Amino acid sequence: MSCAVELHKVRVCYDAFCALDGIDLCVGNGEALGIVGPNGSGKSTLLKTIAGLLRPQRGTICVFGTEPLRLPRGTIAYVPQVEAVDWGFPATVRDVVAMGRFSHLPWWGRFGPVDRALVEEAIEAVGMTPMAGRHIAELSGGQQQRAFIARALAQQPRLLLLDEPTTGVDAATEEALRIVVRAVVARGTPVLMTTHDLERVDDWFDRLMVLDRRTLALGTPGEVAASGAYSAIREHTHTHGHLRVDHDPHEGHEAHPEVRV
Amino acid sequence: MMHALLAPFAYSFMQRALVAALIVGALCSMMGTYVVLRKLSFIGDGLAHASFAGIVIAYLQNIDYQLGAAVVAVLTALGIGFVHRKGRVSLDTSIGVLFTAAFALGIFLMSRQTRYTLDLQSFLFGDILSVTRGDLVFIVVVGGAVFIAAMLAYRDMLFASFDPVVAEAAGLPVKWLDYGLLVALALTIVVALQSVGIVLVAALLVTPAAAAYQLAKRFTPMLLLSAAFGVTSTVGGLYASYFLGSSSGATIVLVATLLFFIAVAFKRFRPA
Amino acid sequence: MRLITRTLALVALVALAACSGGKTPAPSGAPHSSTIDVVTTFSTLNSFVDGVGGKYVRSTNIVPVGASPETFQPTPQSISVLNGAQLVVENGTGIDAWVDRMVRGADVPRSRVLVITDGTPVVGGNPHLWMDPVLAKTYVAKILAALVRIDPSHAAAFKKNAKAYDAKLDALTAWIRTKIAAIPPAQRQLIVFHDAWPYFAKRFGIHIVGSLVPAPGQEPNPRRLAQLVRLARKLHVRAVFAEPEYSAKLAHAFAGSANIKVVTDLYDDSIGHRAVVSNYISMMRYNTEQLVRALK
Repeated sequence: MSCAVELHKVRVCYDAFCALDGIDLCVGNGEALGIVGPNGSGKSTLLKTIAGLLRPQRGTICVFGTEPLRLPRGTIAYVPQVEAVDWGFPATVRDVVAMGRFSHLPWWGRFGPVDRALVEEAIEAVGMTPMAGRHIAELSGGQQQRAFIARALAQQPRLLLLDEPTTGVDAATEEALRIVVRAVVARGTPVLMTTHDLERVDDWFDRLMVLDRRTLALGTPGEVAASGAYSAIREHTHTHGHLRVDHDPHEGHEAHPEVRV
Repeated sequence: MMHALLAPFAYSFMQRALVAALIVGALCSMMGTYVVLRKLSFIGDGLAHASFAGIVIAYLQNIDYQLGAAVVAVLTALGIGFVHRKGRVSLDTSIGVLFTAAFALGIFLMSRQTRYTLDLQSFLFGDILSVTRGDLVFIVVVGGAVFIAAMLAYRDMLFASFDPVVAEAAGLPVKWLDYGLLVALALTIVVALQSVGIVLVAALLVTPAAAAYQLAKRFTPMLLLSAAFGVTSTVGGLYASYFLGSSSGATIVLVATLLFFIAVAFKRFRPA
Repeated sequence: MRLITRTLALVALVALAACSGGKTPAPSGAPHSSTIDVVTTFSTLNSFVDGVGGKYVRSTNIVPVGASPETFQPTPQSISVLNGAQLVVENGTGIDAWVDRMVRGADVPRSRVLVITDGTPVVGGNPHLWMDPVLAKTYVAKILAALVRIDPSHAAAFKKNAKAYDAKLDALTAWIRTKIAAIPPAQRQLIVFHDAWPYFAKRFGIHIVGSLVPAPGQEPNPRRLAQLVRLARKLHVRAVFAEPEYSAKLAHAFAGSANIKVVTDLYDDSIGHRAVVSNYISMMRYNTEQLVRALK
């Protein structure tokens, strides 16, 4: 089986600090991979590297057979953990979700009925249809998260990367997201998702990766549970209904000088 | 009464000034939308000052002033982008360092001349009343090019302005869009320089867009409203300066500011 | 970051090198053995100083040729030039007020400063008295008095020079009168860039219909320009005169609207641009000829 996403001995460092070291990974099409680990384990770094936002200091990455940066537009949809957007930006939910279609349109292309339909579908899939016309500043945290996921869905990517999408959302939203992820995977699109939450991993993911700068375990949820890697990190992760929302500086924030002008 | 209102149109210098005002007003406020949303207001002022060095160098080398201004403004814009990305210097520091240097270079070169016939006044405060047909051609051509580029890149710019990280992951050329925006901004400023001058051009970029920001919920309406405010400011300001006998550039900026405060007040007193 | 620092250091070095290769400052301290160092604010005044002082003076002007004293910004070099001066000549009445601060800064004693228009009746606060050759004779007289005071040993020579120069000024006045007479009275009107001409106009019967710029350093405004256009059309003014220190663009824009011609140069406060305006007298002759040619 060829890998949709393939990492080989990948090391990613911010200046002197290496967030990831010696990562090997192969994710197949139609596979949902969950990535768990304590804060500072490099989960976000891993996703960003696969998305092409970071360059590894060592090792190779292949996404659908090429380097991430060489992929055609619209291949990868990335939903970050913390969105550093200006909430005052003049955009409604629908406007934001529509952006998911932009990567598929050439500059001279028109935003047509097909695009509009996909946007509405995506909004519906995350349950935001009644709020589609609302300005993003009027949304709660969970609603904002859903809007960004809808944008990723509208993009119809070949690879979906989700960074802690279930952090800070209620149970109903969480279930809706789970259904979305399974539906995406069912269409053959690989999904990589980081999470703090170890509950119901079987229902979410086909495989699990335990990460703490290095791969501690990689396999089906059952294999990983048996490996004992959980206990190594258990005290840092969520158990039974209470969420810890820690924001480690290396997890959600940019230390890398990729700032925009 | 009608005759009095149409009086300014009787003079060819006013006709040309009005055409310039129309185009510059629309162009600046359209670009201003990006300036305000991406928080580049300081850059606008910086590039205007930097272009002064270009004007001086052009004068000394005996080439067209606007060409000199354009070259230096574009180089400074690219320099700002580069320093910011590679040097890990904050954006406003990069701007502050580069534009003051460029402006000082202009003054420095000027001061070493033992004879000069450059009328700085008109560059600092604009001389929209002296717009020639050649100037209008420049404004239309360069302004038109910027407008077309902005329209072509409209969607990508919108996405990259709102969420550059996700846009980049989705394969949009965010870096090139950023540099492209800076270049477009530099050219817009050079086009606007003649109308309002170095000191005031930043206002023309920022104020109409800031007014539109108060009232618009979505991006396209903000863009259009900004253009409307911009044109009202420039044409209205020019018109007003005719009847008031005041400096056109300054009057334009004051009208723009008045519109801004009206927009703020309107927003405040509207039911949420 | 290192790349940036190195680049900036390189730029600083280059700038320093460029600085040091500049003009050497004027000599300061003890005066030249026999010539009196006179510093004037603008170049036209040099004519009068040279006219009276002849070979016994060396005059330099602070405002460079081609620049306007009304909007001049002093540089450190101009201040050092003042140091070596035995006489500082300024016009006064506001056109070169900035020199007062410089004089204080350079510690030049007031006794060495001559403000020419002090005590002369001024009309409407306009400083351009020298543009009337008859009034220019007061300039000569005051410079004569100052030079005699500084260097009594050459008083006789100064007096002789001054008398000769006065004669030249008289001849100039007569010449200009004749020339102007050749213009039909109805056509003796023009529009100028800035208001340097009231004394000249009054002396020779020219009507200055208006100036494009209300005052130097002021911006033109459309209402004023429109009024001037109407006036130009009504009075059938034939020409608008641009001046070399200012952008000619405004004059052209105005002329286009008023449908009159632009004459691109009249000089007032700087000479030495070209051979034909190398001193006051040739400047006035040149101005007159330009005027006559345009208005006849």
